[in-house]
Amino acid sequence: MEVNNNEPTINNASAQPAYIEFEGFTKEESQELTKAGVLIGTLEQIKGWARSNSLWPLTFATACCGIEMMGTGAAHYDLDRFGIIFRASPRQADCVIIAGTITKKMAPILKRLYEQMPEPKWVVAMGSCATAGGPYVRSYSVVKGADQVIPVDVYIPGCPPSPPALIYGLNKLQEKIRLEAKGKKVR
Amino acid sequence: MSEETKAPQGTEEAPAPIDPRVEKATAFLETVKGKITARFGEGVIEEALLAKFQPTFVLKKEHYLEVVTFLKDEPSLAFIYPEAMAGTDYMDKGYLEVYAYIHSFVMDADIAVKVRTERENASVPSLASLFPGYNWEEREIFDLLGINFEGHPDMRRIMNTDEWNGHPLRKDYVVQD
Repeated sequence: MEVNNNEPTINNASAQPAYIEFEGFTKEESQELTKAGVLIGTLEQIKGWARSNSLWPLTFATACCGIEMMGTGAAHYDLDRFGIIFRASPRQADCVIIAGTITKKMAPILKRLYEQMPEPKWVVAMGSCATAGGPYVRSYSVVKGADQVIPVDVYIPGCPPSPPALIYGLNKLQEKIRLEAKGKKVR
Repeated sequence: MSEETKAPQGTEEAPAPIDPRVEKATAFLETVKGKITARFGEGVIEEALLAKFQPTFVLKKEHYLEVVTFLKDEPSLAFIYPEAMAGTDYMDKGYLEVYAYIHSFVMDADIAVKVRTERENASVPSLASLFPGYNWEEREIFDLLGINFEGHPDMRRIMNTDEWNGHPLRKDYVVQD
């Protein structure tokens, strides 16, 4: 759905009001639908719109990234305005923000939590530890990236990423959810 | 340090001033050493030195447990409070070292007690019977350095999984992934 905003000019009588261009409809049909106040979309798209705007992440902070994640959730950056509200149970969560180092002992627990989350579910790897092991890449006890354990949708670089970086990553995830609902493949 | 603050190059060298902290620590070291030798003789101490201001005793492995028991039980010493314990791998020198740091409220001072063991089949007497707080410390040293503590009530890994291969803080450990 794209908003086609033709600038209306006051003197020109033939100026067209703004209308939404629907896929599979002609220009006239789209204008008529907009005028009537009707929105057309597939059920999947509506589901994608709903899901992307009420993304409930599982609280999963294992290192300093968790502090940035808490800061992003608090009053100043306020993740609530995106409908992102942290949940303390995997059963209520839609996605998991892996904020921190995953050790070899933590990996089975992370996998279990991921499996306890109901479908559909997404994973955000926050920071260089969750992306590729980070500064502990030569350590004997650290997993070299969370994607060795569970599939990851969005990788956010940084050590730790700042709150704007986390918000950008989460917006990318919302974009991905909406694009996939349209039937497009997102890598 | 600027040029002005340096001591002027006199004709005769002034003797280095004695640091009162070193003086105090040396006196304390000699007191404790005297009590140990009075009880066990010279043979039990491998080395008695001052690490900066810290009196340190390197004890012989076979007398380690009895000397630490004496340090704890002797009323005039009464080193009853274990503060820390650590292990180190000195691969170039060919031994492993266990370091225990004990405090005495009677003397209002700390001492460091060290004991060394060879790297192959490394083993050291356990202090867990004297200081229950050292139980987990010794398990951690076993986990990371592979030193077997004789007489420990529960000698198994504490941090790594039971199936772990090798001891990660050994200098010749190779990371397996």
